[in-house]
Amino acid sequence: MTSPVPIRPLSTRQQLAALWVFVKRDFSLLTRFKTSYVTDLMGTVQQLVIYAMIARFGTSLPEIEGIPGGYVDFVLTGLALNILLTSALTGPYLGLMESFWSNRIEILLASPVRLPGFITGLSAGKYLDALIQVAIVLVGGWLFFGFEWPSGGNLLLFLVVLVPALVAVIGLGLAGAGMVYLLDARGGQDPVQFAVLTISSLVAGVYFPIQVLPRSVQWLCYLVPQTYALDGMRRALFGAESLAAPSVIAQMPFSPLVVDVCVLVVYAAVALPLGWLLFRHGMELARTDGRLSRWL
Amino acid sequence: MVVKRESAADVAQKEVVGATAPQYAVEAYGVRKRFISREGLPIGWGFGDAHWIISSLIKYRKERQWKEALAGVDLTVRRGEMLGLLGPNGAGKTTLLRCLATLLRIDTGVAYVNGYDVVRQPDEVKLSMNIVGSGQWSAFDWGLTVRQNLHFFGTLYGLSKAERNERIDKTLAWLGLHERANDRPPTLSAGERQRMLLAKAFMIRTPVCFLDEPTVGLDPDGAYQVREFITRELVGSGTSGILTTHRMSDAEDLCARVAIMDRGRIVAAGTPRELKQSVGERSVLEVRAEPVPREVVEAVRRLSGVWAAVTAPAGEDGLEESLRVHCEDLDATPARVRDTLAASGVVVHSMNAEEPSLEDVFIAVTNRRID
Repeated sequence: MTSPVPIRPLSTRQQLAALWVFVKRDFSLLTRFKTSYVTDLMGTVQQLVIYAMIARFGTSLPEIEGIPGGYVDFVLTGLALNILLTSALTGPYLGLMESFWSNRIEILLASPVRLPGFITGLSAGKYLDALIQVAIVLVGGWLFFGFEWPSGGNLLLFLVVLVPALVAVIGLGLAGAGMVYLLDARGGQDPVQFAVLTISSLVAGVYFPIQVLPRSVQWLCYLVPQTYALDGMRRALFGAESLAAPSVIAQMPFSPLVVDVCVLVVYAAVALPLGWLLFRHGMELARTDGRLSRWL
Repeated sequence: MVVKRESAADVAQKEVVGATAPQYAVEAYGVRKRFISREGLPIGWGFGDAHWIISSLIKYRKERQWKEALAGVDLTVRRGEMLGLLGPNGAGKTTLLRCLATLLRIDTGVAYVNGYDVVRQPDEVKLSMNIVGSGQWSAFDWGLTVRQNLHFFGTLYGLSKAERNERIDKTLAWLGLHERANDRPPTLSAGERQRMLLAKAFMIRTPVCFLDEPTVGLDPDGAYQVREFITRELVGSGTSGILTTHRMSDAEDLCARVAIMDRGRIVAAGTPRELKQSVGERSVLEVRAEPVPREVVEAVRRLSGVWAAVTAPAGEDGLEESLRVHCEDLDATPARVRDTLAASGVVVHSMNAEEPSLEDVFIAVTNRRID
């Protein structure tokens, strides 16, 4: 057996540097066409204005009385958190598709970056973009539409909800990226992303409280982690114990915030390994049948 | 015909020898790879937009046809050696490189790069090698400059900022690209783009380098510059690897040893001189004539003393063809070939005896031309 010429595995620092260079590259490419980028951001401004105006014309719901700023705080936090969670959900799929269609996937996979680093790197730039959009929503809402920065909230509690929520949603995102090769979902959207986004945008409590929905569709909200994430993060931010909880959560013998955190932790513990397995299996399948960079 | 092939048995023999066995940069033993070439639903179409759902549901019940891309490849590359892999389009050269680069999973057989198993130790393999493909320049980010792209890849391979800066400057200067360092890839010429890919390969300096058709699509000047760089900076610095090409001149100029591949197999291997000597008992006749109909080529093949006869277009206007004839001797055969062509109304422009080339080795093994 031939003895190898010594090679130096990448240290943790070098792997983090590789991740950072992905973020820098993505952001540099994203902002290269300034007009397009500004136009994209205008879409976020448009959403901000629409919902802030709806709030201004009066949306007084008993379900959100616990939030000091009323509907404007409810909807703008919903918008901001939804942008963050959606980018975590769609990041892996979009990153993989971008590298597939730009013919970059093989040159990246042949580099020493491992598969977790590869997919994280491809998604990371999208998170930075999402953070900019979140800032637009919150700062714009504060400056022009009376959004009140949460004062009675607990930042630590907020992070306790945010971290498992992001992990759970990233798990679903990885499963979606796995569908690229498992189900040939190379056209623009994958079925996991489609199902989760459809449910979360309608019934997870982004734009209106879940309780205003007909009971016959409310059950859908319990399927997606966004429901627990939005509910839990609003409770943590606004200290709103009087905020009405979705009916099943309200019936639990614990505080709604505890229920939200527990469900998110379980969701994350299942979704991340399952999503990773599906993603890895999809990539292996593509390596086996030669579809990594080709449309067969 | 002596075909030098390195079989698994030969290699096993070398391993028995132990300490005297050469150290290999690349080893492949019995590597097979097949692809699904056509998928067909066993039922008729006509489902409109729903067809993909049906296709997904019954995916694993579909009848599949398989195409064997690699049919048991045995190949070794010694340390410090750049092996030329010569073969026509579709021979399996790129598939082999993709298998060695861990981008394709091999079906059966084993392969090692720098002593690491390509299936079991992909991370070590990726740290050991670098692949430069002919169309890979499109994989560089068009929105970033040449320098930024090289910084990106340097970081992926763990180079520090100081190392990257030093190597990028040096490599771009060697390649004559320093003035284009701050330009974006789409503004470069085809030759400059190819040199940009080589800059990545040389900047990273892995023990093994795979070059897939590095001069394809380049004009003679561009091809010359790329060949110069490979000779001076890669081959000259002792980098091991495989260079695939269907240009005989590239293989002869750049590689000490050449393997000829056809239909997923290595059909001959050795130094260019050894390979040419292997067809030494054959004489080669190069005939330039008007396009030769297939039945006339068949008639030439059937002539006594003729071992092989193959045609290829010669010149760009399509009015002339090259008929390469392998024959026993150059005494009687030329007259017979001329008579056969004349009897079929084919006008012969010239007829010359030639030294066997690497293409003649390919013709001798496969009865076909390489292009």
